[in-house]
Amino acid sequence: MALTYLKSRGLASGVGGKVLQVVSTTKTDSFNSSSTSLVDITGLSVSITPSSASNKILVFGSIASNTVNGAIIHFQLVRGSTEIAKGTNAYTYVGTIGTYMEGASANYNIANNSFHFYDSPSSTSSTTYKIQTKNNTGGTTYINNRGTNDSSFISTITVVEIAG
Amino acid sequence: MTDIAKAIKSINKLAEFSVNADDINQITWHNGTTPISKQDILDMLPQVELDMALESLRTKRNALLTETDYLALSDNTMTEEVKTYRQKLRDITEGLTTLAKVKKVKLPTKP
Repeated sequence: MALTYLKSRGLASGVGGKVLQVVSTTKTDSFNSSSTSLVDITGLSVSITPSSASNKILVFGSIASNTVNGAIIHFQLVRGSTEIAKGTNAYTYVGTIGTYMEGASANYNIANNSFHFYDSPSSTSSTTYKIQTKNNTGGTTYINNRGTNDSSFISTITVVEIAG
Repeated sequence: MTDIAKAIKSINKLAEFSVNADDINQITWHNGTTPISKQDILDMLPQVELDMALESLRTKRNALLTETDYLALSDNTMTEEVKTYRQKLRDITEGLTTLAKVKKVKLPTKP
């Protein structure tokens, strides 16, 4: 099967598929939360202003986390104040991605939660993407650490504007 | 660094909160949780640090015990040295009432 490669550097501005800009935020300190409703992860947001309403935004996220035994961590991608990239079934556990920790290993594991989502904001205004989290049990969710004072990791969110 | 989160949970197991950068000045209380005073949280930190240190020590101790579990099988006769070693491991947390005492602990040498 023949493969076709498209090199964006050869494309004129505005041609579909061309990468127009990349913005990224890395959170290097900890964030711990026991909220059972979605809350912003402080410092894990990024803003971008699309140059055309027809352009797309590819969002990449990676979050290092841990929680207590038997708990589920929800992560929700939010554009402005709108939850995007979430399951459509009306179940108890709905979000962009989730992590479940069980057993003794829950005390020591680090889950690396990654996602990407292709968004159509249809806007030329500054648009903020952020990641929210909640813990279904009210147990503590540990971001960028594993719940012990021996670990420090990073979480990132990156947005890429792509010509539509 | 997770001490503040653990201190809050030690005071109120049902507390819903967020704490950024493990900074006592960056705590947000959620879902109707009554805020806990900074002083109460600070007062709890030494106990939390002791608990965490003891937990870490127990984890190391348990791993060392596991290493010699096979010597405790019924078809094997343990040497006195191994028996003593394993007993020292089991007793290692006795009398550890302060963080300073925990930090001074030296694990016994495996025979």
